[in-house]
Parts: sequence; C-alpha cells; structure tokens
Amino acid sequence: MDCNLDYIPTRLHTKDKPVLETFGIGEELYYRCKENECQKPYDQIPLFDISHNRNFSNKEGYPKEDVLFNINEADDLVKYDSNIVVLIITELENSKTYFKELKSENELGLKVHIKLLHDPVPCMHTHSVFEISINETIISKENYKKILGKKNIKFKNLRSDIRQGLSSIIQTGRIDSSQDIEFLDEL
Amino acid sequence: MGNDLNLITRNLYLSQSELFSNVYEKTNENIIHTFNEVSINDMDDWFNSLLTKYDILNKVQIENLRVFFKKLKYVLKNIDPNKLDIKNDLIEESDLVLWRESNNGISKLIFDEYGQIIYMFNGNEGRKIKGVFDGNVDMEKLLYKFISA
Repeated sequence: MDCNLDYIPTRLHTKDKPVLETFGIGEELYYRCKENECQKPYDQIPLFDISHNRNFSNKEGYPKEDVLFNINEADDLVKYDSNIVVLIITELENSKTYFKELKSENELGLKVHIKLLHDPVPCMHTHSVFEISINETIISKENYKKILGKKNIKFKNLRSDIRQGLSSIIQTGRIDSSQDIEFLDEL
Repeated sequence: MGNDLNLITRNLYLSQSELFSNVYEKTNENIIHTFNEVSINDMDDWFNSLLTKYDILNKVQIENLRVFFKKLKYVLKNIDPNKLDIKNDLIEESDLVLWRESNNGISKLIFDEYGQIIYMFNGNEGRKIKGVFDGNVDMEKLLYKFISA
C-alpha cells in the first residue's frame, strides 16, 4: 500500500503497518464534517461511508487535524476547510470495538449491524469507518439507494434507528456500546 | 379532553418553570412573541409558511401537521412560546422534522412521508428514546412529551 500524495506526512502512510482491530476506552476518533452534517439536530449525516480517523490513544502522534488531509488522488485539494468533531470511546462492553445490532420490529429477520472498524488506506493508516450492514450486506455509496434508500419501505424505521444512533454519537461526542434506544409503545 | 389539556399545560408550565428557573418570566399576554421569524400570534401563518417552505409534503403529512398545530395553538396561549423555540428541518427531502433543544438534549417530531409521526429524544448524556405512531396518536400527550423533554 503505497501513498502517492507527497503532502501526506510519512507517519500517516500505511505501507506495511498492520490493521489494529482493537479500539480502546479513551481513544479518540475524528470526523470531518461535510456541509450541514455537524449542525443540530445532526440528521444530515450519511448512512454509508462514515469515515473517521482514530488516534491510537496518542494525541500528539496523531493530531485531529490529520483528518483534514485529502486522501483522494483524483482530487487536487490538499486540505479540507471543514469542522472536526472529536469523539471519545467511553464504553465497549468488553469488546474490542463498538458494535450495535438493531432489529426491525416490522420485518422479522432483518438485522442491522453498526461496527467500528480500522480500515487503513495507503495515505491514511488511521482511517476507520462505522460500517453499516443489513443481514451481512455492507452498505456502500454504490448500493445505498437500492438497499437502504427510502424507496425500500421495509427499512423505513430501521433507517431512522441508524440515524438516531449516529446523530447521538455526534451530539454527545461519545461512543458508548452500552446505550440502546428505548422504544415507546404508548404515550 | 379539556381537562387533559389543562393538566398537560399545567404540567408543562411547571416543568418549563423548573427547566428555565433562572430565566423564566411570567408570560405577559400583551407582548407579541416571536416563533423564530414568525409572530406567534398567528399560528396559521407559521403553519402555512411550513407548507410553503416544504411544498413536497403529502396529504397525510399535512393532516398530521394540522392536528399537531391545533394542539400547539392551545398550549401556546398558556406558556411562553419563546421558551419552546421550535425549529424545522427536512430529512431525505421528504420528512419534516420539528425539533427543539432543552438543557437535557434534543427532541424531535418527524412527520414522515409514510404518514408516521416519530418522536425522538437524544439526551446530552446519551439516552435515546423513540416512538413511532400513526395519525391516531394522542397528539396532546405527544406534544407534551415533545415540549417537556
């Protein structure tokens, strides 16, 4: 995995560095907000390709500003002029990473998994993602409309469950595996 | 129903007083309050402005919104609307969101394109509450939940 962008510091190059599957309590993640995504009530966050940078619990070695680097070789931009949201992992329930399972109330058998993964790319070893999958199918920019998009009516409430979970993370700045949605059956 | 609304309004008044104890002032009915940019004295204007702003809303969404406003009109005669500060937004180009922020977090009512009314609360400490209802929901209780969270 070679990085061909000369403005990316070599400390961020992946090269032969390993994937580190384990995240730690207190570790920070940095999210570069696209337009409107970090404005209250945080409902504009996409449900695919939710990239972050992790810091391996080393703020000095991996400062949050690294997340502003453009790592897309097709783009001429060096750094984004964006806001950065800092998230801190506060609870993993003895797991090595954040994991959430959401089940559909209307469609039995439908399950959504939200998982935080270290996902190094050539120019950014710290690159990580919140991977969203439905019954083992990973949601991507390419298949979002077909699988999870709003025209797929059976996912209408699961989609808002996912959005609520992600917006809560942005709102609180905390990644906490122990927090579930409390559902109201009646008022 | 009248008794229920009176109870809800009284509870809301107390809840609001507690929530905004440092800044709360008794409502003076002679003062014209503003509801974002719209005078609260004419709720119909605000309702219509939402319909104009979000002209993609379908009939069911509009009807659900109309019921919500009917209850809101009653409540706002009895409390200080400035404290509510309800904002609006659109999700996925189809679902209307009315939301407000309190010291505890953000509460939302989503009028989705399928005719559902979804209540959500995201607390500042991480608590998440959600309820999915149809147009037959007890709007008074839902309104109280929305504005007292």
